[in-house]
Amino acid sequence: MPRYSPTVVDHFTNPRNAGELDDPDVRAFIGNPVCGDQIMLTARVTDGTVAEIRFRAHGCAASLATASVVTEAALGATLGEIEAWDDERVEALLGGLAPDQRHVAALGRQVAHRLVTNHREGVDDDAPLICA
Amino acid sequence: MTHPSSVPSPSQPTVGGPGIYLDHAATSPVCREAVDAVLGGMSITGNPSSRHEAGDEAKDALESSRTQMAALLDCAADDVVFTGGGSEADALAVCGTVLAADGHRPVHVITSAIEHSAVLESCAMAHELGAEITILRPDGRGWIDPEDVRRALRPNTVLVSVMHANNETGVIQPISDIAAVVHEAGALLHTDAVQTAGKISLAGLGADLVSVSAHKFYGPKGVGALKVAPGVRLSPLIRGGSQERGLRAGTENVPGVLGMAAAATAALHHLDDPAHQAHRHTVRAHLLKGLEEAGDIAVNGEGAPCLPETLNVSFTGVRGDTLVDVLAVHGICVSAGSACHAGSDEPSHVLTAMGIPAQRARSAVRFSPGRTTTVDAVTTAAARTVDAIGKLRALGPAGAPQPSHA
Ligand SMILES: Cc1ncc(COP(=O)(O)O)c(C=O)c1O
Repeated sequence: MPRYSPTVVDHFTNPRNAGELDDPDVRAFIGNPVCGDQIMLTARVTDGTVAEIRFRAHGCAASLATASVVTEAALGATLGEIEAWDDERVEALLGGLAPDQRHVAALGRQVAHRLVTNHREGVDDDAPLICA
Repeated sequence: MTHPSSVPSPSQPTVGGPGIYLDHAATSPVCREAVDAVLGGMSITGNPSSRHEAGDEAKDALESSRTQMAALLDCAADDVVFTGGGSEADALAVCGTVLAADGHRPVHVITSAIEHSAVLESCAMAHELGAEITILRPDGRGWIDPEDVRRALRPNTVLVSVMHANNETGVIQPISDIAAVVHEAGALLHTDAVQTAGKISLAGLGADLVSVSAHKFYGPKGVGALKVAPGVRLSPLIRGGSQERGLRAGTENVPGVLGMAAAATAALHHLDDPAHQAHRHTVRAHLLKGLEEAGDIAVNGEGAPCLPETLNVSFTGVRGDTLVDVLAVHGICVSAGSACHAGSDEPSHVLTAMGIPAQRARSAVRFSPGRTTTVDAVTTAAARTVDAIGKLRALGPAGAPQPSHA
């Protein structure tokens, strides 16, 4: 069995929406202290819908793919829709994960939810992305 | 070189031409000579222990293989014990010595923190059997100082186990100097020569016990050997029949042993070939030069004597396991010291023991070219690596280092 789904391979080899927005409306950061995987999202939100989004990430190949699929799915989605995502939804976006890779689905769901909460509460995570 | 059979998967997109296998420290392809010998061995019917012609045929095959292995191990044919691979040879050397020691007082074993897990776990087992264990730390280059061995010796030290070259860094240890120190104290020396057998000469090492594994020198997997010098007392771990001088029970793996012996003989030819020796160093030089284009790299083990086939490099800002996965998609097979499993990743115990910070250890990748690797192949692999590193660094923190030519 291949180690990664074709979607995961596609996204870690050709990541979508990589980078960082200048002057974003909202910024969200999640880091997994055990594994060292980190994802930072910056987005512009218009009328409750994600109009522009970018990611920066440091971590395993599956976590980079997660950051990429999350931005792709979030673009054009309402904050309410994103808030309804669970781990299974992120795993489905990735075309499936092996059991020892499932933690990245949680990472993706957490950073997406954090984007929504931060926007609602008008706060930003300014934790810098570091290579750990 | 043909596309490796397992990586990348045919169902996944691959970019570019055929694969480039730079993971010979993990295992090597089986050479023609070994394939032929294994296939020949498959049609040998007899059990080497049987007293009839079929048995004699198998016994002769085994004994001529033993002579070939003795040439590789620089010992007498009678000193060669066939095993089921490198891990078993290590276990027999370490636990076999401890079990054979007279049980009146606790025995002491010295090893190093950079050993393969086969040795470290065998020492842990020896500890369960009552032995005291001392684990020596290497210096920052991954080199074990014979003087540290001297200081660790105790009156009850029965065995010192230090590997010949490390599997992650390729750093070659001063085994003959350590042998002198150990023998002066009346103890035995074991060396795990799994990474060096067939690459550099094992002559004059001075170790009493030497482990080798066929699949690292272009032989089949699951077969290895332990040199047991005359007079060394070992207890068998696998008990039953009296095969292998009573040191390893079980009907011998005749095709495997024949394949290993053929691979050993072929490897010794290459050892004597000056053109091949020059080629090993040329390949490493080109590989390193190509990788330096990535900028901000560190060679782990730099400054110590090392095998040209093993190049361990940390790329700042990039995770080693991630780079391995990206390169695999491009058909380039390399290894990382650590991988992210279920959300936790332990950096390599070898790099950590060298005092390398976890962040740099996590960014380490091992490139291990082999006998058939061309300069073109490593040049291509290095260029693709530099490209992948540029992309991965661009995903990470702003202001991360970029390729020097970018
Ligand atoms: C240094 C070292 N020792 C022991 C082993 C184990 O050998 P085997 O795979 O034949 O059990 C290996 C390879 O995996 C190795 O690199």
